[in-house]
Amino acid sequence: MFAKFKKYLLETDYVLLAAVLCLAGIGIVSIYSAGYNPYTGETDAFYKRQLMWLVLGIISFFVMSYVNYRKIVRFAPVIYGAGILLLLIVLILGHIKMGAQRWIGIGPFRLQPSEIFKIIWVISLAWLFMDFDGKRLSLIKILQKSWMLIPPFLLVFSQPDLGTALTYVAVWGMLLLMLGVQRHVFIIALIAVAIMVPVGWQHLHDYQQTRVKVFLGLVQDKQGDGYHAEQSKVAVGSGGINGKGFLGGTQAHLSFLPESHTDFIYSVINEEQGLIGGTTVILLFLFLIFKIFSIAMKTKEASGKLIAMAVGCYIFFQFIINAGMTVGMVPIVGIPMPFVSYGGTSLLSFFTMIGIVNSIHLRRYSLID
Amino acid sequence: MLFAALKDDLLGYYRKRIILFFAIFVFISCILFARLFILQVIQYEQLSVDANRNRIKTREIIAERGFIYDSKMNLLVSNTPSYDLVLNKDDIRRGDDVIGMLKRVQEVVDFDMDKVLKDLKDKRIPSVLISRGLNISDIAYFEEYADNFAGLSVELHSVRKYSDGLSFSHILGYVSEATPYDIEKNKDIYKRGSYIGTMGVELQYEEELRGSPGSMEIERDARGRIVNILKEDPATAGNDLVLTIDAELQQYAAEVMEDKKGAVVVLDIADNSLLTLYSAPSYDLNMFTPYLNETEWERIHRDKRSPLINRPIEGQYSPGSVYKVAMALAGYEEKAVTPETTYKCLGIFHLNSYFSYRCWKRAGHGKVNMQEALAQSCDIYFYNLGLALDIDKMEYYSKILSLGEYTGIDLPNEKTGIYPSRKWKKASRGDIWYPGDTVNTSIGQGYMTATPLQIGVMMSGVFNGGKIYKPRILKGIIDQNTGEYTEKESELKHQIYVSKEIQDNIMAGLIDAVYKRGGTSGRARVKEMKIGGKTGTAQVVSAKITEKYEKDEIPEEYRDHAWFTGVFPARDPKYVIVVLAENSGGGGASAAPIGGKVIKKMLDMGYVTPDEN
Repeated sequence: MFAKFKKYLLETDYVLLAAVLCLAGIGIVSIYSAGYNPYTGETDAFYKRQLMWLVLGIISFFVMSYVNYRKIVRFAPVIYGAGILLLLIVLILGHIKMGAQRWIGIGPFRLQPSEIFKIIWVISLAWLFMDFDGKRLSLIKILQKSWMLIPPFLLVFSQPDLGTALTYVAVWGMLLLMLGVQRHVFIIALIAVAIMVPVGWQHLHDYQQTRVKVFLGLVQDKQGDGYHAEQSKVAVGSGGINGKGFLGGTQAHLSFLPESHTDFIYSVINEEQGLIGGTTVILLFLFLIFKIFSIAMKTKEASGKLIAMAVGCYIFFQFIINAGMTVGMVPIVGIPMPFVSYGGTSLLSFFTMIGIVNSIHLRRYSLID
Repeated sequence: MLFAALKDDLLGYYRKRIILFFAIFVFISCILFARLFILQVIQYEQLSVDANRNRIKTREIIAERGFIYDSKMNLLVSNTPSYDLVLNKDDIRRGDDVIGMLKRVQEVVDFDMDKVLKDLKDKRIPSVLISRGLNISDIAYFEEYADNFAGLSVELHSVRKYSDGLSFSHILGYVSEATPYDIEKNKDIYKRGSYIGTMGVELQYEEELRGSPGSMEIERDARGRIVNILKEDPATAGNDLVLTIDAELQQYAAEVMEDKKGAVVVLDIADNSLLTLYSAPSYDLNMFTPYLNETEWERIHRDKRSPLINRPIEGQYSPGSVYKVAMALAGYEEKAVTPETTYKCLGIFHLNSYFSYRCWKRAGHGKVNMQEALAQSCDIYFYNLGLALDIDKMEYYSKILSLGEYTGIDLPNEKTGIYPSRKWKKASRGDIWYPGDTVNTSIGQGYMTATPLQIGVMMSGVFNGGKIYKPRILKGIIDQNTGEYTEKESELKHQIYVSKEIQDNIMAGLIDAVYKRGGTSGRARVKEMKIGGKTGTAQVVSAKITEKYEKDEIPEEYRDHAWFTGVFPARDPKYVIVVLAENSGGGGASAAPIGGKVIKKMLDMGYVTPDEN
């Protein structure tokens, strides 16, 4: 067993690990800066907590690398059931934070089940589509295979956490498109969206409606909800090419940027590190997805491919939506930037996913074991 | 569950799809990069300005207004801190319930909601003053619950503090807050919350008192808290003023005027600096601090006794017999009469077969010279003198003595009164000058009006040898930067030569008026020191109206105005006093005693010394 462990240690995709560690490192540095008060010299403890979660994440990475991902896929229905149960519990018992019930306290930790469910969702998708035969998916087939999306979506949506609920749909949709769908599915999807949008609109909270309206330019709002979007743009733009320097961001330190350590961490990076920092993050994400997709291509086994593809989609989707939000291309939704934004469960979940991807990498040639 | 290697064609299909999607991801990332490029390179400058505008604000520092002292360096006006509640429009976010918040504020402090809402809409006003002069517990309340009152802050301002709000009101005047219009007109001088002198010395010496504002560049966070001061350009406090007024004497004058309407003026005849310039009734300056008490203001404004008028310089009254002093001067100067010249008074003077004029004493004074005519205020003597001089000569001397002209006092709103002349009558009445007009004018009746200060200047001009100075109230200025005191000097307006002999001759008449049996000013008598005095009575309505009433049943508004003017000490004149009491009957009865009391007070204070024997 030790020999096997040593073998895995040697064969681990360290470039993959390095890429996510780089992103997490940039994240922690930026969280430190976002929490730093230049006038008192004090710093919020957020970066320390994130560092602690990073350690947990790295441990999870190696544990998941060691575990054969196929065993996990085999237990997918059980894991899925457990995940749904967890979401139910958080809905009933969860702590109240910012008007939303998202947390479960376990000892000193606050776990966000909807973040953990992201891993479960990736595995579930692989389990659902591992029998894909190369024929473009028909609507019936999709409907047959997609019922599993409904419960987690509704549970998380009613927390209410629209952002996270949308990521489940997004990854599901992106994976379907990657596999290929028949043309009529597009047409039906369009019609479905056309029906869903007005219905869904009614179910949005006022603040969510305002955000969308502001984004579409239907209402002018430089004071209220539009204020955050505007301030983020100012932060990014005023960073220029070289940035204002580490701890030098005025928008972040004078609290003009809201939630600067979570949703708007990319604004802090752009304000302090400029276009150079912002572009570095884009390139790191592209490189990370390149590595994940390479593994997806190299592995010959369907569920491994699907997990790697889904993880790649997940990371890219959250990255691009979060970054787009900070530069005013996307309305404000609470979707964090993977590895970078402050948030323990999110960091742990994505490290776990990368661990699973490494597990796929380690077992790309062998079908036994 | 089966984990099997996929067939090659399926692997190839996956490969194609994955590459296609990676390409899409790269493409989308390029759009994100382009967006970053637009913001950080193309819009960099604009957004940098926005970022700085967010955090860097310029705060004005309002200069401390100068203090005002009396001639003995008693503090009359100083400043006191006022904690004011201010709403900063910058810190209001859309969706904030401002009106709801203001209503909650109203539960704690009272303020004019309509005015605040009006200011809130006015784009020129960056922050709205809600309430001034918060007390300690209100300040503590707003500081503690700052989070519930977004945009509200307690600012420290400085407001005027008066050592005596009642006795110096007309002299000092008051300040009012700079309006948006004032600020726009003088951006470098006035800022929001600045005060502007509106009346009295505060207005006259606004440039000295106001100082110059400073500014402060501050760095603030999103909630408006100051985190850093980047640059500070301190304000320069205004200069302090020292007045010629003697506070104790002025307060005494206020006391002896009791509830009369009128004026008390005391002049130093050496340079016409004013020791007292009191207007009754007065108003309380404290109604302006820490903010204008509008109900009180409204009441003062509507008061029929017109407390806002500064009577010594704004009140224009028919001078009556006090004018006879100027007539005496003109008569002697022009040699129209000598001290020995006499006119016979039979109580009535026939100008011609149509017009006749009475002396106030129906029985007549008999044969009188100048000394007797002044002492007993014989009208017939002055009718004759007037006709002997004629109006043009009378006008010449009167104008030199500042009658019908601005005295040039350093206070706003001075009135000239009227000195009637041929030209004046032509212009204002469209009629020629008749000898009868000369007769009326020669005893200070008819068209002529004068302010109490003008009478004072007239007296001082006669008894200082003919030097007509502009009266002044400012003794000197203390420069705030250097601490240096600069004494001001009086400006000489006109000068004629009045010989000692003429002065003594006129003085003899004025002494007799006070001390001799039959003199009209006996009630001004001061035991310890001889003075010269002259009373006057100015009719408010014609005698035909008052004749209908018994003497003490005449309605107050129809009663005559009483004048008294004194010059003292008689042996070597140094000061002139003028007392005017509105609607209080004859000058001898009501104005002269007030004059006497004030002169006695000056004796007690050491301004003048008793006569040797």
